[in-house]
Amino acid sequence: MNEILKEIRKHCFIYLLIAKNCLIGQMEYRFNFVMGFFIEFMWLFVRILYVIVAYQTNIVINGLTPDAVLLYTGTYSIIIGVYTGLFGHNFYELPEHIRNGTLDTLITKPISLQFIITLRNINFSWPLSDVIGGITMVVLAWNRLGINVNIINIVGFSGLILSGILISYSVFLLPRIFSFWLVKTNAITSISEELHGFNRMPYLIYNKWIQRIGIFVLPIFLVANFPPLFVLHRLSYIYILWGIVAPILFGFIVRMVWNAGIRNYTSASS
Amino acid sequence: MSIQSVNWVKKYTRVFILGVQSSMEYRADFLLTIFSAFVPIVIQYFLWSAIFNNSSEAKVYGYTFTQMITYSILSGIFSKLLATGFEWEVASDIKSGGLNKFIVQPIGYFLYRISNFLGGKFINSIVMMFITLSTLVVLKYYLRNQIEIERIFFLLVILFLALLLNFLIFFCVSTLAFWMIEIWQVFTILGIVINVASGGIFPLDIFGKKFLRVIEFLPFKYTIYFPINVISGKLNYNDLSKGILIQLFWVVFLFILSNYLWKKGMKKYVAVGG
Repeated sequence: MNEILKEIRKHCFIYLLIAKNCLIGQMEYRFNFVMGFFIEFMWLFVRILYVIVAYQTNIVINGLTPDAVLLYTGTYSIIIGVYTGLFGHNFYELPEHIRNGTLDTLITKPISLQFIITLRNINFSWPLSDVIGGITMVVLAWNRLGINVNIINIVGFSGLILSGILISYSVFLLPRIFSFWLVKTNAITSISEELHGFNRMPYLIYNKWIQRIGIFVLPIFLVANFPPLFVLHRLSYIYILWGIVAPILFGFIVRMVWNAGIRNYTSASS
Repeated sequence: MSIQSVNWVKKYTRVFILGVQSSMEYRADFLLTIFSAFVPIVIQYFLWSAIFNNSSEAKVYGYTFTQMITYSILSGIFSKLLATGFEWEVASDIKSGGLNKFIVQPIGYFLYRISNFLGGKFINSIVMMFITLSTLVVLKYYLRNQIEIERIFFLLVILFLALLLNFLIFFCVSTLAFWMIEIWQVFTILGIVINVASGGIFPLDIFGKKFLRVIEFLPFKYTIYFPINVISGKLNYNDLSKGILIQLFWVVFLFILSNYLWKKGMKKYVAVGG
C-alpha cells in the first residue's frame, strides 16, 4: 500500500513539473500561444453555429429546448477544451513515436510508460477559448432554464464532467493504440477525429441504435451528454451509475490493450 | 502546333498523370475520405429531421425538407471533392527551399501545382460524381425531390469551375508563406472560415439576408453553396447563368491576383538550403 502511495505521489510531482515546464515553454512563443487560442476559437464558433440554428428554428429534441442545446454545447466545449489541452497533442503523437521508434528513450524512464506518453505535453492556449466560452454558455443556459443552484446539481454536474473527461481519454486513446499493430494509422486517426463530430448535438437527436452504440459500446456520447441531462432531471439512476462505472471500466480496457500493444512494439529503425 | 507547345502540353500532362498516380497510391485514404464525408451528413440528417418534425412551416430558411437534406448530403460530398491540401506543400517549398528546383528548371510553379492538383482530383471526381448522381436519383425517386436531371450537365461545368476557384483561393492563401514564418495556424483558421463562408457546414441562408448580401461580393459561395442550389432547383435558369458568369469572373480575377502575389513573394524568397 505504501509503495502504491509513493508511486502516486511521485507521478503527481512529475506531472506538476511537466505542467510548469510546458507553461514556461509556451510563454516563450507568445505568437503561437495567441494563434492556438484563435484556432480553437474557430472550432468553438462552428459549434456555436449549431446552437444558433437550434434557436432560430426553435428545435425540440425529445423534449430538449434550444436552451438545453446551449447547456449541452457549453458542457461539450468545456470537456473538449480540457481534452485538447491535456491529452490531444500526446495522442496525436503516439503513432509517430511508434513508427519512428522514438518510444525507445521513453521506455527506459523509471516511470509508467502510459503516463509519460499520454500526459507529457500540456497545452495552455488551446483550451482557453473552449473553457471560457463553455462556462459562459453553461451559466447562461443554467439561468434561462431556471435550474436550481444547489449542492446536488453542482456536485452531479461537475462529477459527470469529470467522468466525461476521463471517458474522452479512453475513447480517443483506444484507436491510437492500434498503431502498435498497424504502423500506418491515418485511417483510424481520421475516423476517431470524425467521431468527435457526433457530439455537436445532444445524443437524443439520433435514432435508438446509434444512441445505444454510442452509450454502451463505444461510449462517445458519454463524453458530454450526461451532465446536462442530470441537471435537467432526464437521467435515470441506471445511466447515472453507468456514468460512474464506464470511465473505470474503459480505463481498465485501455490499460489492457495498451499492455498488449507494448508487447508488440518492435522499436522500428533502431 | 509548334514543337515548343507540344512539349509544353506533354510536360504538364505528365504532371497531371503523376497527380492521378499518387492519388491512386493512397486508396485507403480515399475510401476514408468518403467515410468522413458521411459523418456530418448523418448528423445533419438527424438535425434537420428534428427541426422539420417540430416546425409548423413547410419551409425552413426557405428550404423544403428534401431540399435541405439534398443540401446536407451534397455539401458533405462537395466539401471533400473540392478540398485542397497543396497549400501545406507550397508553404514547405517556400520555407525549406523546395522552390529552387523550379527556378532552375523549365517548369512553371503555378502550372505544375494546378496540373498536379487536377490530376490528384481526377479519379476522386469520377467516383464522387458517381456518388452524387446515385444520391440525386435516390432523392428524386425516394424523397420525390423536384430535381431536373438536365441540370446535371450544368452541374458538371459549375463544379469544374468551383474546383478551379477553390484551387485559386487556396493558392492565394498559400503565398502568405512568403511573408509569415509560422503559417500552419493561419491555414487552419482560414480553412475553417472559408468552409463556413462557402456554405460547407450550413446553407448561408442561416446567417440572414444582410450577411448574404455581403457574401455576394466574395468568391466563396460559388464553390459549394451555388452548385448545390443549382441542382436542388432553388435557382432559376437566369440566376444559374448569372452565377456561371460570376464564377468565370472570379476565376480570372483570382488567377491574376495569384500571379501578382507570387511575383511579389518571389522577390522575398531567399532560397534556403539551396
